[in-house]
Amino acid sequence: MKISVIDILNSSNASLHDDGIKVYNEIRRNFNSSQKEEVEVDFSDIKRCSTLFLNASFGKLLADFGEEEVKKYIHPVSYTHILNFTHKYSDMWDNFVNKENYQAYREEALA
Amino acid sequence: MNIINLHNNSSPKDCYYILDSNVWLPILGIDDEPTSQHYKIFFDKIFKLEHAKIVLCSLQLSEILNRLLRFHARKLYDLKYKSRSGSPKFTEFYKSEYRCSEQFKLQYESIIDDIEGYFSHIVFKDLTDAEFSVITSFDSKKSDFNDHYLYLLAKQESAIIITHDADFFGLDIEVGTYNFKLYKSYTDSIKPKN
Repeated sequence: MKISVIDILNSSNASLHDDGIKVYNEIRRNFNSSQKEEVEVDFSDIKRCSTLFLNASFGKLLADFGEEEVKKYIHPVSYTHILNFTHKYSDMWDNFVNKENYQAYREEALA
Repeated sequence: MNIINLHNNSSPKDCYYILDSNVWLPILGIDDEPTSQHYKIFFDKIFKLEHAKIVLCSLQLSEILNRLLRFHARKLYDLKYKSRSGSPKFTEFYKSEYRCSEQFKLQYESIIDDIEGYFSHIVFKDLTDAEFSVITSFDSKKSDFNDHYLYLLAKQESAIIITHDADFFGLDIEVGTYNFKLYKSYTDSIKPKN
């Protein structure tokens, strides 16, 4: 199954928290752990994608389903044209997976 | 001083806002949920308004960049040197290794790209006519230099400061917060005494 980000947002910018939540809700509607159907999240025609958006969409999915499930079934596709997408996505993933380990650094940054 | 309880009044106005750095950081990736959730939603709402703007100054941009980059560098330092003997100190690693690395370049570009994505609602402003003595005079028990600078900027631009901590409490500016304790201490402070 393919989910088009631009169709959900009606915009070529995936920048805001609410944008991420809309995409998250659409993925949740189409995916549940019992059916295990692969979901491709299509970024065609999206020009910009923010860390805030990725945390609200994929970050939330990671919190719901865990690393293994998301890695196996939910994939971003057609994103190579988006500046820094791969780095932002890896960083979002790393921050989620190592949330406990990074707590002290988070506190230091927010102090 | 006026403190706005954003729980009761969560709709931004068509005016200038200054986001405290601790509000900016979760937006740019250092997440502190669930507290930060409210501020992210408020941030989104600013973008729904045509004339509402977020004031950003060089000093705050520098603070945000440094905090985000240091957070990122800490992670890499751990990966490379944690529990290894003969490791360089973190500060040495940051200057001599991290800042020359491809990871630094990517992280820096990613942060800048995120901020650029919000340009439609950001205005860059700095203090224009403030005197040195005004900029450098603040009560260090209550504030620090950067917060004092943001306070002066908020006064200059008639901006509302959005914050979750008490650093801007007791000043002659408008402050918006989801921090109920902060709001409560404000309402208590203006109650008539018996």
